[in-house]
Amino acid sequence: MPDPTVLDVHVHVAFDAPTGSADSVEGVLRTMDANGIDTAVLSPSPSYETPLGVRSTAAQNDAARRAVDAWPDRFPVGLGVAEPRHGRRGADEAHRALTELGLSGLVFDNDVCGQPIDGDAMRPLLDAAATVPGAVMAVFTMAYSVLRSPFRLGVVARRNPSLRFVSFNAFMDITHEAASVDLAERQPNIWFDLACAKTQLSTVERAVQQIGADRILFGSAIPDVARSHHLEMVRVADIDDDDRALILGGNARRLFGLEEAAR
Amino acid sequence: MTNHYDIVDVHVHLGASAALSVAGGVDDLLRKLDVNGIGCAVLSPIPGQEDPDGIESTRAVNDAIAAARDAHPDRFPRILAAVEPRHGAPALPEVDRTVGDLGFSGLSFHNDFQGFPADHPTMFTIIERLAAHPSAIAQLHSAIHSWLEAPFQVGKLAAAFPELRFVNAHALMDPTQTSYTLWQAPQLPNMYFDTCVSQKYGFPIERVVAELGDDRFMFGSDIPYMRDRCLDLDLILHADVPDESKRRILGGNARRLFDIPE
Ligand SMILES: [Zn+2]
Repeated sequence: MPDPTVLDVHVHVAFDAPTGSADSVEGVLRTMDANGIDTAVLSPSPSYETPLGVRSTAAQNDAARRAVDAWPDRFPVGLGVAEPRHGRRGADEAHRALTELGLSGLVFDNDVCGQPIDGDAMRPLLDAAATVPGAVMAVFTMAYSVLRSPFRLGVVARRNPSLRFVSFNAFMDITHEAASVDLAERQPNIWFDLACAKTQLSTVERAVQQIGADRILFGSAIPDVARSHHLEMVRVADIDDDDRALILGGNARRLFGLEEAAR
Repeated sequence: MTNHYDIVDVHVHLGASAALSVAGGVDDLLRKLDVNGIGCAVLSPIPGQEDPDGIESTRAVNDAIAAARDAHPDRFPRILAAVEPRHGAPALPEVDRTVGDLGFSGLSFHNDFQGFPADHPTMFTIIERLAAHPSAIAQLHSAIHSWLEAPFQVGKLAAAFPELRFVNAHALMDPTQTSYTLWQAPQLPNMYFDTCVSQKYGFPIERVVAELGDDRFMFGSDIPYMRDRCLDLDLILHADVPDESKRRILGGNARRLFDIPE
């Protein structure tokens, strides 16, 4: 039974996957259905191949737009991709994705990009995004990564106060959780995604206590999961039902400028 | 929570952790076992307990474990003891007192909270002492990014004592550790693994069953480290593996390794 209040911020599609495979659009929709997830923020799988450079990136963004257009009731929001290794033309593509294509933001996995979140190569992309009002940057963090260390997200959030950021996978372990709490205290323009979170030591309860319910977002990490244990984690968490509703969808609808129809 | 499996949990801790601000008394542990439909468990001291009195503190911790088993032999049929490497050679008699006199099945280590690495010379001395007890088991927590309990450090002990059986605790915590576990396991036939604190994405249970088989992995809950529901159990119950594999991982392997009669 789909829950109309859930808006999952973390769903990837591999647009070059065969139709019907787990990470194709159809496969992703099947997994969402199996978990009762009605709507999601769609983004291209960040590990797509780039044999054609910026053209490969553009093809991903075009495909994301097409998917959002084809299933507007399932994917009310789409994000694009951009590559720091594509230089000036990469920044142009970022701008095209956010303006011509009307995608709501960009997703970065800097371990895949090969450049640190706060590196010089990221500046043109973020500068381009900052010219588009309301753009959201979804950035993977990981406590032990060199390139996507959480503190690097703090650096770019401070540099770009007009941009809103989501730390993807923000609570993978207790070190990561501590880093996210620290980021939240420093930067009001960062939201935090529960995908791939640790499921012991009261992750949701502690996030609400230490960061506040209004910046915590449910994300499933479909297609890297078949069953979303994190949806269950939010549902059984010992928090107020109002806070639970914010985490499951209310915050994401506000962040991406959707109507608060379900509330 | 109900299901039709015989569930034996190899990873439950008693006591109060100074390191992680977690505590579980016997009643709390029993309630959490019931909530999750877990029949019985291997009980060990919660890691990182305060030890202002050194070895005396450890003895008290181990006595509490033995008392819990004696009070609830059906729920805690097997127990593991703490021995602190930072207590040095004077800690060795506690190996014999617990495993020899009090009927503990073996020892439990969590070196991140014990100050000395798993491959420290004192650890070899303690494990050598343990290996003198027939059928003993050494449980060591591992973490891929740790300086003190990296899986290779645990592996060094297992390689040095091939006659002793080891349980590598939370061996599937993240994709790097899971990959390491899959690489390490074929080289160390005396090493068993538990599923507690597993990654909940990337299909870890399916991966290990496909690549290593189902006879060396055992369900562990990590009770009391969650409010009540143990999602590590859900991970196994909902894994896309044969039902017989689930039976082994959820209970059969633990009954065999720890010699727990049905
Ligand atoms: Zn443990």
